[in-house]
Amino acid sequence: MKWFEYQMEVDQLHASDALKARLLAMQPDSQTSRDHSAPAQRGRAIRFPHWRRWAAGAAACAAVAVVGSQVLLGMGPAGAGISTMSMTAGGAASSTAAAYDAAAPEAAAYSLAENGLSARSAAGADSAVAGEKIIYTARLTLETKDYDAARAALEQALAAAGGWMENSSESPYDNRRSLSMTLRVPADSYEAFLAAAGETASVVNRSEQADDVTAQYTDVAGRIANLEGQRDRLRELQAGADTLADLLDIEAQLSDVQYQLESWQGQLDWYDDQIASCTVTVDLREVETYTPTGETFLERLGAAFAEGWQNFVLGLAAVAVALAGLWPVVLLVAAAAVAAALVLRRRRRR
Amino acid sequence: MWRVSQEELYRIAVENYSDSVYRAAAHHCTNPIDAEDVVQDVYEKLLRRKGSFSSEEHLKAWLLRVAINRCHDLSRAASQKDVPLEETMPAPPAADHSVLDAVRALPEQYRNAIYLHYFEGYTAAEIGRLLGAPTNTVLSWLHRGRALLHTMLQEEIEDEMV
Repeated sequence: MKWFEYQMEVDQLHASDALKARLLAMQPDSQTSRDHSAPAQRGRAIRFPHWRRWAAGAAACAAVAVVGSQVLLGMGPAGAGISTMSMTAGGAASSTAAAYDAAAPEAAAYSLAENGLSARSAAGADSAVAGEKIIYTARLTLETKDYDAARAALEQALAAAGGWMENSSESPYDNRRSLSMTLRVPADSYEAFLAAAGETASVVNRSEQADDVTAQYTDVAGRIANLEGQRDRLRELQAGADTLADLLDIEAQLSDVQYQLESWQGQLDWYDDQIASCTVTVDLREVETYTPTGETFLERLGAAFAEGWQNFVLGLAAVAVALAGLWPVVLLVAAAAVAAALVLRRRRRR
Repeated sequence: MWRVSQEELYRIAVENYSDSVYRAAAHHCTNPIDAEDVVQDVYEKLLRRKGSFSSEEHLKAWLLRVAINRCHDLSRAASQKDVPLEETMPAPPAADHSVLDAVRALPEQYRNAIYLHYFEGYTAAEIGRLLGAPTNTVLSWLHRGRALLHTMLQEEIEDEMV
């Protein structure tokens, strides 16, 4: 049996001449309506596959998912930054307002209350030294897109204020450099320096603290005065000492007093130094986009979107760098995958 | 592009390809009257069709596809109305061991593939384009159709047109 038998059989089928005549007689829009029963449902008629629609839908879902995740990621750190900033801004505002008041007893009372120090009589009658002793400390967190310019501006502001740098640490990382400096600024130009530093870059966080150490200072000063009195008296005794035993005794006490005196004096000197030069810690970060400090929702939303995109790009860059670091492994894996694909294709084509 | 008037197109379709359409319908329908109904439906659709064809081969392929679809619709309608012989089940072959009857007894997909390949001479890829199926699927239909025919006819089927 060959296929030609089949073909011959089929050849014998043909449309009858009557049918052809009927077909030719048919005119457009004038069909002889036959009583067909149209199928109630369309069966699985032959159609083009709908994979294009499916692919388009899947791509749309994927795009929405990617954008949504980026928005969420971008809003996360931005949201945290905003809340932190608002809290510290509130705290800093009150302490700043307190610290920057004129040197008045009321100000001392304010700062005392602010920093939780023990209450002290505003009259300051116990004070052996004039004025009050306050140690100012500040911490600035700055962000900048132009790292070099901001750093130069900071150094300039420091020099203008007559301050110096106690220590600094700088770390360069790819495109995100960061700098941390501990600066000492004379108390007179403290306010001016903080204002100038705030101008050099975008301020993310600014916290200030004012410690009133007048009580401790006067205590130490009193002890010193006391010890000095003892020393003077001992010296007088030393001058009028009769016996060697007394002399040695006096010498021993003198050296003890001297030792204590030096210790307390050292502490007083430390206080003086801290009061005279305020400590300002500055953290400068180089960023691509600023942490949103805007007030309006739209500002923050826009900034969050931008940061989300930046995070995404940085993530991709990090992945690319990592892959480049592993290029021999990547090469081997790619070669193995290509070989496997070729083998599979050959098997299928069989 | 194949530039020809609508009437000329229709005349060519009737004179050249009505036989092919009829044979395709005859593979499915049990009696000639139903086959003629299918042919008429196909040509009615051709009259209603507004587009143009790129070539005569395109016209023929279109006619065949419409015929096959129409047969498929009829089988669905028939299966809903009454409980006739199940079209998708291979029926026992006729007494004269006719290959045509065996092919007509095949399941729909196999039957279409075998007819289009072994009589009309389309390749598996062309059949795939015509029926809207991947080439490999068409090849599997041909393969399984041949196997079923072999079982039904219990004779060796030489495949000379591969």
